[in-house]
Amino acid sequence: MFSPAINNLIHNIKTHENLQALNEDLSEIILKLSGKLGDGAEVVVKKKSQKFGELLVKYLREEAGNGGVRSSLKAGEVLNSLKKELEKMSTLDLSVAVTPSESFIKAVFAWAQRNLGDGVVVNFKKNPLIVGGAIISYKGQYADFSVAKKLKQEFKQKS
Amino acid sequence: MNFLPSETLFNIAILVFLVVLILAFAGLLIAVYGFLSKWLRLLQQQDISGSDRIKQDAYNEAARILDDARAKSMGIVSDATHRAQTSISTIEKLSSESKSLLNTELEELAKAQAGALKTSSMQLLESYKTALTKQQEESIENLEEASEEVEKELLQEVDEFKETLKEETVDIHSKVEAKVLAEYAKVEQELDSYKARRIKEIDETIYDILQDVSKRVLGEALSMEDHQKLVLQALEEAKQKNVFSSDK
Repeated sequence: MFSPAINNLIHNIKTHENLQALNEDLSEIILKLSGKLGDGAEVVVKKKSQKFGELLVKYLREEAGNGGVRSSLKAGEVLNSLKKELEKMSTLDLSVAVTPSESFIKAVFAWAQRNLGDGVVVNFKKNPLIVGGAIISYKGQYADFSVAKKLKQEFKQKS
Repeated sequence: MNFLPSETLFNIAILVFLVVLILAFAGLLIAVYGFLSKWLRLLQQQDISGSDRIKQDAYNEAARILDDARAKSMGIVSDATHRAQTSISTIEKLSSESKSLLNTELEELAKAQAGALKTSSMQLLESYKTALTKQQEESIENLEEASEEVEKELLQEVDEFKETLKEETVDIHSKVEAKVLAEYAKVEQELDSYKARRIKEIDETIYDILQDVSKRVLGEALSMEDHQKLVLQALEEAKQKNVFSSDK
């Protein structure tokens, strides 16, 4: 579905929050690069995206070689294509009871990649009322597997 | 009618007989006079062409005879009248005596009749009193009977009215009782329904509380690893229930 370079990039984009941040950085970088002629794209990319700068430079190099890293025009074109590709990514919405830790995020993201394939990000929403488990929403499908619901069902059966 | 003496009756009978005789005689004379008058007129008609003298003489003679006869008859009538007057006077005298006697007899008779009448009146009065008393007693008795009858009827009517009233009261009582029972059953049903609803609400509240407590206890008891495990379990369940099937 995605090119190996994009796959390398998006393996590091685990959450919807990351994806949004990346998109925002890309927009700024593309805007910056569009009015600039000549070399120095790498500098602009690293300067505009401290979080994803290294990843993007690596991506530019993998996708367009050294020219892609130097030429502002070329870098702009590649990053525009990347931006469009990123729009194809799907989101797995998960309501969870706590703010997930990094290891939590990694474990869930790994599960998502393993079971849903590449090009998916996890959108964590904190909702302490669900106690535990998750309320899942994916491509229009919805399922509540929260502990709160299970407790409710248990008490409902008893009442 | 034997209050007149027998002699008086005899005298009256004679007097009546004499008057009748005189009247008969007078009638005879008048008949003769009529006959002769007719005869003379006949003669005048038959012998009018005869000797006028003879006829006139005969006529005159006849007239004279008639006049004599008339005079005699008048005398006889006068005499008879006189005699009759005498008889009448006698009779009046007799009548006066008879009247006196009659009065005496009448007074006696009146006295006797008055006595009898008094006796009859007394008897009648006594009978009347007796009858009146009897009637009064009967009236009182009838009145008492009527009163008793009226009282009996009134009491019967009162009893019937009481009975009717009682029946109606019982009927109304039954209806009211049935209505009250129906209302009671309805209220009881509503109460049961309300009770069940309230119990259910209370149960739900209890379970809500328990649920909240459980949530709180569980929420606090679960570690990050537990949460992670639960989320991964949820994802597996979702996968088993084909929540992601559209993507697969």
